[in-house]
Amino acid sequence: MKIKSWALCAMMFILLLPCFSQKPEDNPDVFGKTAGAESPEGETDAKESASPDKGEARVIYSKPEMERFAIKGESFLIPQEKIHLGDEIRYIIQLSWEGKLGEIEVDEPDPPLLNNLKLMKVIPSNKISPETNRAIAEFTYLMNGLEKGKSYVGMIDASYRLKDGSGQGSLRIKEQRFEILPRRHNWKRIGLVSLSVLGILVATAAIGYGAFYLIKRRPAPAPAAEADVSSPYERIIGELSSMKLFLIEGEIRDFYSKLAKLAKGFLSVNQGEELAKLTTEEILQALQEKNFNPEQRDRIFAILELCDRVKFAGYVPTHSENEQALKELEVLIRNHRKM
Amino acid sequence: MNPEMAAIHEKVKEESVFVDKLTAEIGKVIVGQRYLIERLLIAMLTNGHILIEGVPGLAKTLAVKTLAKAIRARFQRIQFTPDLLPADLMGTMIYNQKEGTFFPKKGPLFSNLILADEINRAPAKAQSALLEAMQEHQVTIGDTTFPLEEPFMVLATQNPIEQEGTYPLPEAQIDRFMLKLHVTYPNKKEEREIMERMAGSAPREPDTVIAPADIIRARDVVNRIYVDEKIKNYIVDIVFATREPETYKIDVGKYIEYGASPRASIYLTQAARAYAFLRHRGHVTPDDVKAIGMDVLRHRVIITYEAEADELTSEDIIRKIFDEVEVP
Repeated sequence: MKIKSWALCAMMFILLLPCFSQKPEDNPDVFGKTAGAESPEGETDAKESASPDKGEARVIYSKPEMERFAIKGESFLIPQEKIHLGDEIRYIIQLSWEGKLGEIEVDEPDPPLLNNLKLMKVIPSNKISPETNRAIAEFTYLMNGLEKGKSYVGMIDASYRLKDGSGQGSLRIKEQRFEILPRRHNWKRIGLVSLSVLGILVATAAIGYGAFYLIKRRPAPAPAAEADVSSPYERIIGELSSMKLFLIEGEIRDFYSKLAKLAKGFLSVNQGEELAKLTTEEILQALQEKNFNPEQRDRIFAILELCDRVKFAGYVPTHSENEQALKELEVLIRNHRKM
Repeated sequence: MNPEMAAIHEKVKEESVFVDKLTAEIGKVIVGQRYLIERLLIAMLTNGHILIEGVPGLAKTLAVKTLAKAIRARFQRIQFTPDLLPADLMGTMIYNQKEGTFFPKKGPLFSNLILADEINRAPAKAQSALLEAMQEHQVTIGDTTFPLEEPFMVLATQNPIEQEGTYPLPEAQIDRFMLKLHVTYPNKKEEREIMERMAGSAPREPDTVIAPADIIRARDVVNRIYVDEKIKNYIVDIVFATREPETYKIDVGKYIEYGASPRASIYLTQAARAYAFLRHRGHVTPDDVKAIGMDVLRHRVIITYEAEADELTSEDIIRKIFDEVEVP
């Protein structure tokens, strides 16, 4: 049995293995490395941010004065190498110039043509480069790979103008090509889940074995005890027979209190509804409404009335009245039991 | 039965003979309204007062008037209005020019049966004058205090329909009424009989059955009616269940703002005794307590807004309590 459990566990482990892949947020270690991008010769490529190529393939100046800005375009791909399916891909284009931030306004470029990629968001920003002291207009394209294999980001045309409108121009960032690798495996997670599954399997096996052991060891069932087959009527009759004790001990009022309770209990059972909280007159009315046998109703009423007289009026019944009341109720209940 | 108890039973049977005669005599004039007539007798036998709520035209005045005639008592009907003054009820001191002295001119309160019609139409000043007389059974005019004639019973009526321009009785004042009755319309058969009896000919006059002194004597007998310990405990349980329903596992706690006052226990015992007297019994049973319980408690259990929101009345709450508290 144990061997079977271990075999099952191993099978589960193997089957579950491909299902555990790492989520993008779990891969900070690959962020910032060089991307495996391809670019045609002579065009601006995405390179390391430390020494990017210029992207001024088609820089147009409408006025010669604009040349003093020495505008250039660059692109970066993050991560720069080994992009896996599920990684968040950031494609950044930057237009930089010699001067101040507000001097040139850069229009947000149209989204590039994408292949095997899905654009999630475009984040524009402006900053001054601390190394070169150039003003930078930056657009970050957040993307996800769709499946493993070759991917492509089309060229991007960026247009810009002087703030005072005296000059304008544009430049083109060349396309990017790169390979998306299969999803990464999260070995830590696989290990934890496998251990959990293993634990569950072991526990299940232990419980199963324990149950099997108990069933096997359980002694043969003893012959069923005689079921309590007495009806409510018989139980009331049983209680009636024990009531003579009250009389012997001279507890007459307790005797009649109990007698009234048993009579109400009998009526509750007989009528299928709780009558114990009703008064004598209410019980009489309820029985009238239910078309209870008039003769028996009167007998019950007489018993309850006698009980009330003893309980509430200080009436001291004779010995024969006690016996008679007890007998009357017993006969009444026995007759109903036969019915 | 012990001799003392037997004597009470005999005395009750002897003294309560008039009850059936009186009921029959009133029945000659009033059609139906057995509930109202019975409660009038209970209040009279226990020195209590009644607040009646019911729409107009239900023979409330006629019932009291007939009762007064049947017991040879003096009856006064006082219509309460917003300009009613205490002196209009109690009387005032009048100057006798001839003798040069003041003498008291007694007001309508100096009667046996007072019908305070639409009591909530008069302001608090007039209401409290009446309620003081109810409580003390005496009236002070000027410097002189005059005891009121026994039996003295006040029946105050309230119209539940019109509430505009009224001065509702404060809870503390309402508590002084022993019973609060809800008088309802007669049934079809009674309505037909009323129509035949009243339309055309003048209503019959009742014969005198007993004298006020007989009522006083009957009161003494009523006070001697036996209330067993179990019944006393039952009454206390009922009253306590209105204050602490959780103790009795009755799920109405959130609907009760204030439970019944100790006056409820006193009046419930007295009213149950009188109810037993009307049935010629010398002892009280749980049936008596249940029969009269609603009339004693309905104006003493103050319900919450939550109960009103759930369209529950104090009667619903009391009914639930009577259903749940164990009968001895």
